[in-house]
Amino acid sequence: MNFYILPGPFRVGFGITGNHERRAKDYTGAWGGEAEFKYLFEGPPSHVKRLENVIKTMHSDMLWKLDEWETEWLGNGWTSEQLLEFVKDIIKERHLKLTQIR
Amino acid sequence: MIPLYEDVVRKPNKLKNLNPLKNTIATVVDLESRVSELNSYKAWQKLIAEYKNQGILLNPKLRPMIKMVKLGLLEIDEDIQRALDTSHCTKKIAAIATFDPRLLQVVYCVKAPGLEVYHAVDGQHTATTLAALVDGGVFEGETDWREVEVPVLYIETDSKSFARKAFALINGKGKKKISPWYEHRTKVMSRRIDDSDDEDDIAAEHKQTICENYDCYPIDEDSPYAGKYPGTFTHMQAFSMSDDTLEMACKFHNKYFHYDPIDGSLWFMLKDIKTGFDSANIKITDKFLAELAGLLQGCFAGLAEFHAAVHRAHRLWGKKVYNIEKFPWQDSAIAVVLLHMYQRMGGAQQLPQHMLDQFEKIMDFVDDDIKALYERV
Repeated sequence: MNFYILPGPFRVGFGITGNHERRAKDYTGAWGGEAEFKYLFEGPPSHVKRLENVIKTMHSDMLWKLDEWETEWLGNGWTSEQLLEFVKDIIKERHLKLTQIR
Repeated sequence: MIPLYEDVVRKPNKLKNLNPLKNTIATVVDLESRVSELNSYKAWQKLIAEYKNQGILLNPKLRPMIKMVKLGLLEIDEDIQRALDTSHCTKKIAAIATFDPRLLQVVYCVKAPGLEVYHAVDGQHTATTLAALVDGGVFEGETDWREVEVPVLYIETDSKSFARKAFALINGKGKKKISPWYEHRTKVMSRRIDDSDDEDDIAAEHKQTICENYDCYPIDEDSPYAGKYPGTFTHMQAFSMSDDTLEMACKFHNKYFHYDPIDGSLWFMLKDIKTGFDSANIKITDKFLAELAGLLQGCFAGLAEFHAAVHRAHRLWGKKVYNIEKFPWQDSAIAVVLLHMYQRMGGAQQLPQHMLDQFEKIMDFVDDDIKALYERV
């Protein structure tokens, strides 16, 4: 399973997928422009899901909120590189079995 | 092979200061500060703007009024109120051990315009019990219950349908319910602030202290800290566990998973393991607990994903083996699946056979990537 970081047209996004090529095409189809995951991690599903859940629950303050809905996009000011470093820190401190493949 | 637990750097727990139950002195705020708080809430501001947008102006005279009313003037509409629960009046409200006249509640009524008749929409049990206690000669100097006055909160209307709706509202619909956490909070604060010697309060405060000693903090389900801060939990049934088991669970969390909020599976898992091991006369060693922590951390990145994996396997097992689409969840699967995994991954600790005899077939339905971990052993 993969965890991806995606620079979007308006802000930086993230997510998990079992097939990153197909997921990138989903974004491309929705945007009408090519979407490419700038950073990509690979690991066992439990560890990948945990990483995503840690961001979405324990660090929900950093998410972009549409009314009360917490999206999978980050709030203003975040760059892909900042998110990459943040994710690497979480992986390191929690010993998550994720490897960066892009 | 069971993964070795890897230490995670411990950070100061924010709940040490934010813990809503840490106060040991009463704090009082004036209503003005509460009003300011509500006024600064965005959704509230939107609501007020909508009132103004729609030109809504409410009549102040429609607010409820309060009056001391003689019990003899109260009537009960049987089609609105529930039937009288005589056992509730006898065993709960008027029970000698707990009855305190100071705790009698106001009676909610609907008053017919121009008539001194009050239809009770809530509080019939209070009113009936009080009247019957007076009738029984229990109240000093009072003999005729009809003449005894009680505080009545009333609205004046001749609409029975309004009364019916009022009854539903007062009985829960539209009212913020007292949550299990709030009930626990009341007991703990009664002990910590008021020095209550009530047994329930003492027991609740003791359990709270056990949790706090290990940086574990019960919080309300709608707390902004829920699921966000390490050590927090919302599963109040944890307090139904014995002190020993609660301490074992809190200690386990604090030692191995201090960096996560507490997942509800912790309580079921350790309670069942403690009960199972105790009944089979098997000692739970620190080494065994460390192995379990290693398994949970290495294979599932913690309890939350393990819990989710057991749910998935249990659902599939129920569907495939029993052909039941929505197979009812069984909490006991949590501990047993963990023990099965432990054994299949080469764990050497003796395990209670009566536990392993349960849910064995579930192991055929765990996620393939997890299965691969122990099938390699």
